[in-house]
Amino acid sequence: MNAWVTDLLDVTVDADVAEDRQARANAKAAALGMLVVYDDIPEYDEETLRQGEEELRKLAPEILRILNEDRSTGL
Amino acid sequence: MIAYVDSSLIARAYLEDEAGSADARRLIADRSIAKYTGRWTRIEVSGAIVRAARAGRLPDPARSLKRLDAELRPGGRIDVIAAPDEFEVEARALAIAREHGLRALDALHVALASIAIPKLADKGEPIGFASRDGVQATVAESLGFASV
Repeated sequence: MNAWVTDLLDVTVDADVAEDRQARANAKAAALGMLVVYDDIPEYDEETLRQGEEELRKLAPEILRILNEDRSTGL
Repeated sequence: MIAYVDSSLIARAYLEDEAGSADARRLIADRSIAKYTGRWTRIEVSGAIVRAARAGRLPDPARSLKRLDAELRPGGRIDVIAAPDEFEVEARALAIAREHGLRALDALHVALASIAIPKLADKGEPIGFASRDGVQATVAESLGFASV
């Protein structure tokens, strides 16, 4: 499955789980100045995003509509 | 659980012809464990991927390198940490190397894990060390890490 869609579904699943352990530890690591963020790694390339939208349109058009609405409102 | 993932385990996940590769991929995908590694990992695993490709063991190294980068970026499955005081890591690694005879990078990983992971763990939460190097894993265990 497309990387963007996989990540999106992962995040959705995580939100349903009681807590995201990694996110909580990351907040602590960032506060302690220990979290490394590589600025040379792009989050997604254009092709991955384009294919992801296509896949998501087939899988869950309602989610895509909500995402686009969020973008249009700047959320 | 919160665990430090050594480069040996991450490299194993990418080298699918090696024993334990599927187990390594399962561990990386396990979202119940918060996973961290050091900055050296990106370099070490990149080198392992390129060497494997040159030996004909990996058909598409560019894709593997892209996957590795995605794994280590924010929101990926393993986050990268560095200790605020690099000299502390170096001093701890030196002590570990002199006591246990570990190789430099193996000692640096254990040193970083022993400094950083307890600070990120919740009170009473088990801390783990994931490695495919038996000697390194034993040293980590002697420092209070569960082998994962």
